[in-house]
Amino acid sequence: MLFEVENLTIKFGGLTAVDDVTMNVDEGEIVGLIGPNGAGKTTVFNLVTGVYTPTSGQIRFRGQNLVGLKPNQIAKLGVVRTFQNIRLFKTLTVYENVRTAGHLRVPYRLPDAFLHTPRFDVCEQETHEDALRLLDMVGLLSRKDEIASSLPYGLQRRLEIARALATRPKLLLLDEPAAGMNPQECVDLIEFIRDVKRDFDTTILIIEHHMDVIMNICERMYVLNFGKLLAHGTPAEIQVNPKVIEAYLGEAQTDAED
Amino acid sequence: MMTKTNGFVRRIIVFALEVAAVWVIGSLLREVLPAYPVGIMTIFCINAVLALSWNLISGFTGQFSLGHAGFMVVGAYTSALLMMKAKWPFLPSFITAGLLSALVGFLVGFPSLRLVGDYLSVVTLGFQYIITAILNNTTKLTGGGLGLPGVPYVTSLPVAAVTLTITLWILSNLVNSKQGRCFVAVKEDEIAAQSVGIDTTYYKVVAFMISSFFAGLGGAMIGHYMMYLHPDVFNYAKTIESVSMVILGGLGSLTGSLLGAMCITLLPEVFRNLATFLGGMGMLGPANFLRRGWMVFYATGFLVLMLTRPQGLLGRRELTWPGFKKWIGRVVVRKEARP
Repeated sequence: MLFEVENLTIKFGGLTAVDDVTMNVDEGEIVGLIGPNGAGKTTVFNLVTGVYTPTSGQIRFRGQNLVGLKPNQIAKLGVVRTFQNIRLFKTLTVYENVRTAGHLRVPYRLPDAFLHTPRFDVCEQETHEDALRLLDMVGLLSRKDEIASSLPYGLQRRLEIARALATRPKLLLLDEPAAGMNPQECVDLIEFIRDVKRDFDTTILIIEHHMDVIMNICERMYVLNFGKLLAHGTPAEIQVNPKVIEAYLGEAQTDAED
Repeated sequence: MMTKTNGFVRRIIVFALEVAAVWVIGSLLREVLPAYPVGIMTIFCINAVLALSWNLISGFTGQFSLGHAGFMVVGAYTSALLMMKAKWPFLPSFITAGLLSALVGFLVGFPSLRLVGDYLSVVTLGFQYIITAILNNTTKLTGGGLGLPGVPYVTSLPVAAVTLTITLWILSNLVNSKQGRCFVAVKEDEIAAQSVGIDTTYYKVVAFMISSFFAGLGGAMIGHYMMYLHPDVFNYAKTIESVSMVILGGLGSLTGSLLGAMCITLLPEVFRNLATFLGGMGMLGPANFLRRGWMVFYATGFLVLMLTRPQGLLGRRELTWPGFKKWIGRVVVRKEARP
């Protein structure tokens, strides 16, 4: 098993945001994580990537315990995320965003950087070419010199995924990649995520609200509600699960009262 | 692989030649020119080293340190005392001064760089006052508030110019590397930087230490130029001097720091000379006004600049030869295009 979460719980004061969640992801899968607003999906991501430390429970990646590691250490192990509200290096160019993220695979050290040694030259040439290749694969090569924050919204999302890919993650966590996208952009995104999985040989765990996106690309999915795991199964099973329907309809009812 | 090695050797040779040329030109200028312009150029070189070092921690890495003078003073006293009391030669004293500043930078930076924004500024500012207080009270070793006279004169124009050249070379190499990109990533967005595996604390501490190292060198040069040290020379205003140079030139631009250092070193001299000139012409009123009130112009100029160009003269851009040629090309084309 590539990635396992066992009895994961976090309490903020009296609120149990994630309550006894157990889930797993196998190598090469695309797994969905859905649930109504406030169900604790992003909190799960924050726990997995070390932003929060769980109150109890275990997170294991390739058998190694991730609890207690810092976010950068977890990223170094190959678990890399994107953010719900895009976090690019805003004033840098598209190319610089991807190049910066490629740092993990650059072995040279500080003295090489001071003196620009032969080793520096070799590594820099490689990462430069690698960044261009990556931008080409994600279709951003023609816009490589544009400032990241000036890109259209959909492309900013794409760039954020590209930046995560520059670290060559084993497990990619996508937090609502289709948020704010129109139907056409959603279709493109589905294609894109499939391409990413194939070209980068990575496993993907994805939070999403757009059901057409998630039903389309996920092999399995987990449903969270009020921090608890509500259901687990294939998209077809989830669609007819009465508990899931109730959770979503229940939410719709409170909306109607407002 | 072979060609790569050759590229490295060629760059080192070119750099050695540059340093040699700077040394020769510096020495020649010192012989040929009167003491006044030579002094201004020397001070420019020192100021530029200080500005560049502050730019690394604040312009590139985004950590607004207000303790820069604290690191200068560590370097200044270390180098001076090693030469005076331990009878070390200049170069080892000078380098030890930088290293000790870097060590102090580590001791200050390691706990405090977990702080963000204003908090870091306050801690570093506090550090500067602490170090001044320590120096004022270690009378036996440093002369305390009486100052330290008799510091050997070493910082001639060629020494200062060569130090500046080496500083600029190392820092420009550094910012154009993996580490340099990580510094900028820390400045841009720490959470995003961590999410792609950048150890933000490590890079902040490293940037802080390198910045302190060069601040120490700059401070040492000040001591060996003035031949006298006093803790109060390195006060809050000294920090702000470097800060204004960098902000004037552009945060995150090395050549911007050079430009800023040049402007801020020259400006008082321009006003002084203008006042003397007007006085010589018999216009005593304006001359006296300039002499006493030039700070008003200086401050107003700064305000106008910050309102119209808050990113500084160069912003994040660098002045380069190809860029300069392109600019000349554009100007020429524009002229030709006119009917």
